[in-house]
Amino acid sequence: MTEERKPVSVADASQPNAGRIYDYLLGGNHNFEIDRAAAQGLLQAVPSMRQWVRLIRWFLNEAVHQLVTEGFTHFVDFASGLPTVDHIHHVVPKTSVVIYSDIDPVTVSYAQDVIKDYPNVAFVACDASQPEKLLALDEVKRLLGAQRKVAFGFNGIAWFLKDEEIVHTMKTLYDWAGPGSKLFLCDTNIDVVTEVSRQLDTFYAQVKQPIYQRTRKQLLELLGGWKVCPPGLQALEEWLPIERKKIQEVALREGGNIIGGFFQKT
Amino acid sequence: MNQLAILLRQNRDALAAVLVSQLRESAFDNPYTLHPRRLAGLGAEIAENLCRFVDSLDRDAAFAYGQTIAREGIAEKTIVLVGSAVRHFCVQLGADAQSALLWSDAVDLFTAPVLEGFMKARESQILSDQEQLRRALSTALESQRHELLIKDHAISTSINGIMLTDLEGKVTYVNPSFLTLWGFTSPAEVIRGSFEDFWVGEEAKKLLATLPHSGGWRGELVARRKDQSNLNVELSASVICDELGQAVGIMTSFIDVTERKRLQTQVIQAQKMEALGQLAGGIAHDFNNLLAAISGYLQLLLVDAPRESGLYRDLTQISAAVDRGSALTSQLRFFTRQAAGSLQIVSLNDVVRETLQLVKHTFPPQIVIELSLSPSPVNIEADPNQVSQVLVNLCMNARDAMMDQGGSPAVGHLSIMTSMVQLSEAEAARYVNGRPGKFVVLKVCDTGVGIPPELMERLFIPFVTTKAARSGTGLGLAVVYGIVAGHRGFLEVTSEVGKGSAFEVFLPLNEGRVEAPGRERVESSLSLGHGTVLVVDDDSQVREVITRILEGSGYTVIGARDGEEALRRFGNGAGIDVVMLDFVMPGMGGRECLRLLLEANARARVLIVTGHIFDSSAQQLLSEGALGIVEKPFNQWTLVARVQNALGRPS
Repeated sequence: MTEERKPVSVADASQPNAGRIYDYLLGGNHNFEIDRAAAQGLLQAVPSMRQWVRLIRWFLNEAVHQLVTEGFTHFVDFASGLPTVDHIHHVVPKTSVVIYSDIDPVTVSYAQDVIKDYPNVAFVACDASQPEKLLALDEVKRLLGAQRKVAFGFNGIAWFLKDEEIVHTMKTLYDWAGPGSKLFLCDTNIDVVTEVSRQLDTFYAQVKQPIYQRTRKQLLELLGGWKVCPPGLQALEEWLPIERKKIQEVALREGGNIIGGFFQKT
Repeated sequence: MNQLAILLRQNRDALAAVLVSQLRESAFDNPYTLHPRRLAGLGAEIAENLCRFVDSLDRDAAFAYGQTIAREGIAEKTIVLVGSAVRHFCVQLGADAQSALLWSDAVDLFTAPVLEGFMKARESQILSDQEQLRRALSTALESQRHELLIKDHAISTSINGIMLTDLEGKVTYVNPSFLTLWGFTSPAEVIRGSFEDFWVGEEAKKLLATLPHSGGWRGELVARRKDQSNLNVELSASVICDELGQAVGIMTSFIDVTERKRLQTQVIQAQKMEALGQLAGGIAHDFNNLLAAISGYLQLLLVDAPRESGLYRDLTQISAAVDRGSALTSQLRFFTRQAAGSLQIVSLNDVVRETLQLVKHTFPPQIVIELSLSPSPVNIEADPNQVSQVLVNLCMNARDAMMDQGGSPAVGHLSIMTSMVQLSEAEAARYVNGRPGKFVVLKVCDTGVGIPPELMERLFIPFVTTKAARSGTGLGLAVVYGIVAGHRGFLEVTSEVGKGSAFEVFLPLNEGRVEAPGRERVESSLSLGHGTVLVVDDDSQVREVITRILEGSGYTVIGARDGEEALRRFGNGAGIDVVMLDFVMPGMGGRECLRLLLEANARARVLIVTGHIFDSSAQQLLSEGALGIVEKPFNQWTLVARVQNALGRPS
């Protein structure tokens, strides 16, 4: 983690923390009153925020299911947050290798305690904009070995990174990965700039974590050699077996939109 | 199986469909851990568990199931809605009001232990999550404490002085290095003081005013120590911001660059001395040629002039002046390091003892002389006469410094010390031209007037002196510098006006044994001779003087103005008995000419004529076939004797 981008630690109770706010929105118990108060401010601006964050997690879970079906056995996930019960290592077969990462060292140390009984699972400290550091770690090298056909998770993190950081990350992963590797990614979409996207910008600026929302085209342009897989970048609810009308109602009412999809190195 | 159980089992799938619909409706109310894909299975399981309960009325099983669905991630709100949906479905199964009541009771009997189990599990889950969070907090606090400890240690032990101030410049923190650099003993002497108090001039004040806008500054300032002395520091200042990016203070770190600046000055000084040496060397060479010509003609005139005549007396005066000029160029040669001399292993202690015997008589009795010689061997490979010259010059300077104290009677203390030191890389770096290794040190300290700082950097330049014009040539320290440098040594001078000076001379230690002193060679006496001498010199006056002296002594002389002409006239050397060859000539130099002469005739007798007699490269020609060296300026007896010696030696 660099000094330039050092978020409020997950265990610093004196300031709201983006990770703990996220946890509260997901319905978790790893948050403090200061985070809940901050989250309430966000919910007032974007009442559907609970739905959106759940959709991101469910998309990740759904994507991993699909990748397991396709035969993927090695997963590297960025900005993982806490590896709770629905996370990748609970979805994949026990023989699969899973490498989680997060920028917050306390989250990392906490998560390492959570996954300590899983020999094929690692949780390492890494800024998602510097994947080369993750790939250079001895523990990562040991677990991945010579395997270069890997599935990379990049969910709910792209909007925290600048364009040049995403370009660097995607190129680094693409250059390192073997043919057939896949990337599963979801991010906000501002093809239509709405009040929700403006509120999100304002909120995250207030908690000192600026975000960079993009259009579908802008996002695709940053992914370099990664080729989008059919059916392309879709609204998250399109990937999930849920009551679509509820999401559509919310989307229509508030104008929010998160898109996700798969990408491949051919 | 009772009637209710049978009826319920018959309607189980319908109930499951209702529950799945309700669960999907509530999908976003549940924690994220309950994935939508799981909802269909979950609805069927709830329906099945209700069927089993109605059949068995097993409260424990219902309680356990409540715990299970809590772990699945169903929210409290969802479980209430699911319970309501179950009740609504079952009540509708009743054909009449009585059976509807029965169904209602059955559903209550089921939901009560399920909710109980659910709440128990949720409570446990929350406690567990909170415990995890507490552990994370504890880890983070420990990590932050450790990080702070390391940062605090790093700042405390930094060799850079560090000062923190608020935006008004009030000092809030200083580290121990700051205290050391500024000469304070406790932070309490500094805290709450003003940033400006620690600097000389207005620069610091300007810096403080502009820093909040500029964000940072790097440069050099002159600091004022507690004892009011000055200190040159390189300073790096930056604004400290809080988590909102607001400037709250200033952090400044400092490096003492006094020593670095001193060394930079010394390096420049050394380069200047090198350039001066080359200049002086050139002048000495040309001056020697002039003196050689004057001296030669003078001696020819002296031979012809009647001894009792006024002319002879005048010529004698001129001769004395030439001797003084010759002595001056001789000193300049020391400065230009053309005087490596005859090296031998000597004890510095012996040289100091012998020299002091001669020098001490020149000191008035009020000046106390203290000698402290190293008990361990302090042998050096050196020309003892030159080392003695160094000590003489340093002692004379010390004496004059102690006798020149504003007209007060000369009193003082001269101490001469020898010692051996081993310098590390870091220690050697403190000295100009210093290098690591073992050195013998000669230290001469006086309690004289001291040297003004503005003179320190010109101290070793020839003809620079503070003494009255009549009392010194200004070559004393230049000679010291040249001799020390010529012996691969270096010097360190410290001085304080009004308190005195200390000169330390470092010469490489030689761990060999001291050699016995050599015997002076006795020159042969002058007499007439015969033979043909080829005189090679680019200076026509020198050439003519040598010619006339040698012709006056019976020799036939052939002149050559440069190396090329010399080779032509020498031919195969058959008609030439001796060659007198100038060492420094334009075009083909003495060395190249010597090589070609010996190529033409390996038996050629060649004498090298030079003003650089101790120059190692001139000396080297002896090993390359030259028979001897004739030093300029020379007298006629020396010149003729050298030629006779050469003729007397086998070719």
